[in-house]
Amino acid sequence: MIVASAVAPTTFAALVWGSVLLVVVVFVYIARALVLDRQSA
Amino acid sequence: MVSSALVLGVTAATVAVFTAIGLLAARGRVDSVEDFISARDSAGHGTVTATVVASMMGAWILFSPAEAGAAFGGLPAILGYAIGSTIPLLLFIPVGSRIRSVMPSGHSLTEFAYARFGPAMYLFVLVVSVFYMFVFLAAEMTGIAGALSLVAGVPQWQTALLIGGFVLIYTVYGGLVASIVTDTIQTLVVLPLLAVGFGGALVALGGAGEIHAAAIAADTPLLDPSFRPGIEFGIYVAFAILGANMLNQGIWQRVYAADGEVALRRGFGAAAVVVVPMILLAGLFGVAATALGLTGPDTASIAFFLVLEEAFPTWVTLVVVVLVVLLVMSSADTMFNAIASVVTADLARLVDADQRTLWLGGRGLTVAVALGAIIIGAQGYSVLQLFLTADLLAAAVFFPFISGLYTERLSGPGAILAGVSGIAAGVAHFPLLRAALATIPQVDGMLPEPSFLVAFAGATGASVAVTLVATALSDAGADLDAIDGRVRALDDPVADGGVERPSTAREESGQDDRHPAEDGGERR
Repeated sequence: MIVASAVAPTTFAALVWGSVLLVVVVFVYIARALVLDRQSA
Repeated sequence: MVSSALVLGVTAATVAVFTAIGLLAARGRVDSVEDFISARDSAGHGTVTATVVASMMGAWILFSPAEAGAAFGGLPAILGYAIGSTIPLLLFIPVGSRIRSVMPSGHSLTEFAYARFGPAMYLFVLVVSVFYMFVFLAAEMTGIAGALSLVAGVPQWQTALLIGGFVLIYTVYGGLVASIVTDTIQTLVVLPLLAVGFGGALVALGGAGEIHAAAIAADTPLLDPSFRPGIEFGIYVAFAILGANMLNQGIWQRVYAADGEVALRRGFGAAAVVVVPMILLAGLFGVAATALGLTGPDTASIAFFLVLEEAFPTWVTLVVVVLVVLLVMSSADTMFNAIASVVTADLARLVDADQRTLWLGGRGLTVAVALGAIIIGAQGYSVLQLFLTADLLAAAVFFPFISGLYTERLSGPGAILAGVSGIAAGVAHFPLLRAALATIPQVDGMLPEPSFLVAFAGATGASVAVTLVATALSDAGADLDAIDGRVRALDDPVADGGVERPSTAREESGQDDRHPAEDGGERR
C-alpha cells in the first residue's frame, strides 16, 4: 500500500527543515570564505 | 494579482542595481580578449562556490524540481534531481584538476576537443555544447517571462527584453569578470531569500506536519521513496544533468577561475552540498502544492507561482520576483559569456584574426546570443523537449570527451564512434523522437519500447562501452603534454585599438596552434 511506505512525519520534517538549515549553513560558509579571500588578497 | 507596473518596477530596479555592480566591477579590469572570456586563477574558494551555484541554479529550480515532485514521481524523483545535480559538481573536482593540469593555458572545452581529438570531434562537441547552453538560456528567459506574466500579467516580451537587455549591458562590457562578481553577490542574496521564502511558504501552508498529513490523506505515492516511476525519473535525470554539465562551458570557465587546487576543491565541493537542499526544497514545494490540492499534474511546473498568486501577500510576491530575477540573471550572464567564449577561442585558432577582431567578435557574439535568447524567451514556447534532446546528446558525448583527458590511447574516430553509438542507443529509445523516427520506412517496426530511463542510461552506457573498447583496441598515441602548446594566447591588450604582438611565446618556440592532424602529426 502506498501510504504505508511513505516516509514518516518526522523524516519529512527533518528533510524540509534540514534543507532550510543547510542552505543557511552554506550561506554562512560562503560569506566567511569571501571575507577570508579578501583578507588574504 | 500584483500590479504589473509594480512587478516591472521591482524587476527594473533589481536588474539596474546588478548591472551597475557588474559595470563597476569590470571597470579597468578587461584589457584583452583573455580578460573577457577568462578569469584565470582569480577566484578564492568562496567566490568559486558562489559563482558555480549562481551559474548552475537558474530559475529552473523553481519550475522543474516542483514538476518532478508533483507529476513525475514524488520524493524519489526529487532526490534523483538533487543527487543528479550534485554529481557533476563533485566530478568536476578531479576532472577540473585534470583539465588545469593538461591544458593550463586553455579557455574552452571545444579548444580541448580540437587539440586532443581533431576537427571532427571538435565539431561534434561544439554543436552539442552550444545547443545545450543556448537551450538552457532560452529556457531561463522563457521561464522568467512566463512567471512574471502569471503573477502580475507582465507581457512576456517586456520581461525578456528588460532582463536580457540589462544582463547584456554588463556582460558585453565586463565579460567573465562582471559575470563572476555579480554571481557572487547574487548568491549572497539568493540563498537567504530561498531559505526565508521556502521556510515561510511551508509555514504558511501549515508546516511540514500538515503537508505530510495531506499527502498521506490523498493516498498518493508522493512521499513513497520506493515509488518506481519516481526512482526511474531520478536515475535518468541524473544521467541527463551529468552529461549536460560536463559539456557546460560556464563550468569549465570557473574551473580555470579558481586560484588553485584548494579553491577548486572547496569551491565545487561546497557548491555540490548546497544544490541538494535547494532542489529538495523546490521539489518538496511541488509535492506540498499537489498534496494540498493547490495544483494538479498539468500545472505542476508552475506550482510555486500558482500558490504564490493564491496564498501570499504582495510583499512575499515581490521578494520572490527579486529571487527569480536574480536566478535568471546569474545564469544568463554565465551562458552569454560561455557561448561567446567558446566561439571566440575557436575563432582565434581557426582564422588568423588579430586581437581587435577577436575583441569585437567576442562582444558581437554576446549580443547575438542575447538577442536570440530574448526573442525566444518572449514567445513563451515550451522548451522542455529541446532541453531533454540536448541532455540526451550530452549524455552520449561527455564520456569519450572527458576520457581524452586521461588516456592517450583513445583516438578522435574512436571518440566520435562512441558518441554516435551513444546517440543511436539513446535516440532509439527516446520517447520524444519516436514519432519522427517512426516516419522512416523500415525503422518503425524495429524500434524498441520507448523509455526515458533506457534512453539516457543507454546513451551513456553505449558511449562508455564503445569508449572502453576503442581505447583497448587502438593506441592513438596522443601526447597529452603537447595539448597546452596548441592553445593560442589571447592576452594582448586591445583597449587602445589593438596592436598585436609579432608572435606569441609559443609560436617562437615552435608550438603553434595547429592540430597535429594538419601537419602530419609529427608533433606527437
